[in-house]
Amino acid sequence: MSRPTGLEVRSLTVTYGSGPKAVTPLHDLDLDVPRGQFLCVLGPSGQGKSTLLRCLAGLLAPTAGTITALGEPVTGPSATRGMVFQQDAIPGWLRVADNVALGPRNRRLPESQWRPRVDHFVEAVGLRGRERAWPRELSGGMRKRVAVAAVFANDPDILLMDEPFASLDHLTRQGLHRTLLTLWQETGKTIVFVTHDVDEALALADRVVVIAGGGVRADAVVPFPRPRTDDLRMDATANALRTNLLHHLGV
Amino acid sequence: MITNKVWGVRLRTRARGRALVAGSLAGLVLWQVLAVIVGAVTTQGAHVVPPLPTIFTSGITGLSHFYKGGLGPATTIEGAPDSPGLAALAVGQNGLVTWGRFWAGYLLAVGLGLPAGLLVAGARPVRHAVGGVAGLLRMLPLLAMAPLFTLWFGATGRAGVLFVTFGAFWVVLLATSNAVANLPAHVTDYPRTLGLGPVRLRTRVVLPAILPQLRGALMLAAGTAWACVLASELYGIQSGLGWALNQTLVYSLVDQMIVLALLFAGLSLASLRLIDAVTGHLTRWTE
Repeated sequence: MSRPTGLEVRSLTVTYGSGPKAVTPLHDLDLDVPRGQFLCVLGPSGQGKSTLLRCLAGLLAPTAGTITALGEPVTGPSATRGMVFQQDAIPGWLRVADNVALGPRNRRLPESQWRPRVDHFVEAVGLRGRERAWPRELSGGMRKRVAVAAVFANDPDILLMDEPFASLDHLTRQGLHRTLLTLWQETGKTIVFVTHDVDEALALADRVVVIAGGGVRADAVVPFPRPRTDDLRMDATANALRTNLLHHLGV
Repeated sequence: MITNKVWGVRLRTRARGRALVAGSLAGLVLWQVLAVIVGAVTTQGAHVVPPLPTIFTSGITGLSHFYKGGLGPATTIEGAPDSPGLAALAVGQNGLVTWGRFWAGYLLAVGLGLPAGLLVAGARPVRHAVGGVAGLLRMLPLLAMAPLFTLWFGATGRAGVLFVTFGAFWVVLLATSNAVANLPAHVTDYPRTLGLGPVRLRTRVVLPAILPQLRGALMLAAGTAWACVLASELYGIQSGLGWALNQTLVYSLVDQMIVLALLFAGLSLASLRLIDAVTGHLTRWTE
């Protein structure tokens, strides 16, 4: 029995500009993401991965097509669809704990309701003891941890992650992968994770789609049990899948 | 390492202090030399460049004339002689009035300019239109408009405050709308995905995000506000340091003029330091 749909994208087209200079990174794209799935979106640079994510977040209105999230049409940004950006987007003027509390506080709930949740996610991302630190006092990896904690603390149904760990070193990224997977398994959120790194996609995802030429070029289930270790690089099935994905990426 | 840092700070502070003292002494010496060399006097018999002893005696006590009474001691009009105490009361009385006009006008300009700038920045055509109007207003010599405000609102303190607000408002408005326009998209996109609405987005995110860029503009607005206070008090208002300064000009009281100018500079510097400290505290996260 299939899981209920978290995200449903139909005939999505996005065109930037007009006339001869118009660019259409997404054309007539269809995509379903079941609730609770960890989907990775792969694709070469400039092929519309981030555009798709911005449309899903409601930050960009599509030129044509529809998007529904949990059965509701997406018409703008909403706290039900949290997003982690590639850039350092967390406000620099808020200390770590205030950053994590930014979304929950905004809902004007009593502190007794959101404080334990904030404390839990600060702890979960390994920032206990750094609650009073300014973002500038943290490393790039720690700032990403703040962003991840903030988005989970806001309790969205869907998490959209736009190459969130792209600028980090391998070890830091692996640590963040573990943290993210733990939180995902704990909360059961639907995650759409954009990356250009096939190994990152294979380490994280239930399913991988490759976007190129405006649409979905490949759609593959990642069948490996978790936790996935570096041994996956030696696995013949994994290598075949990697080769297939790389082929669709044009590598 | 901490000791080095402490020593570093101390050394720098001492060096700055010595330079300041040396510079001030050199200035005083130069002034005295000029006073001796120039030696010219006005038709009322006052030195054009008064010697230092004159400034430190009659230049200070002469300010007693600007004491308007109401604080206990009799005024010079009522027969009281010039004295340092009366001069202090005069300075306090008029200085407070000027200080109050500055802050009232400046805070009003900031209180109106910031939200207006945030609103204007939201719509590009409006921003361009306001920018055009502000550009035209900038072409007009601001201080020349002081008599116009006196004409419209009378020779009152309210006219002075409104003129200060008018002068500083455009600086704050333009700086705010430009700073908002220059914010990277993700600064506002991220909180929108956390569910922040337009009002909270502006107050909780946009305003603190642009504050580091606004610090310079807030100082510039304060400088403009001081120029406006002085200009407004020169035209008809019968109180404040600007009014006193104008009186010294009318009666060629050069020694008192210098003391008042120094007081004006001191107040201006104190307000700038205060604004710098407050905005520095609010943007301490950038340090």
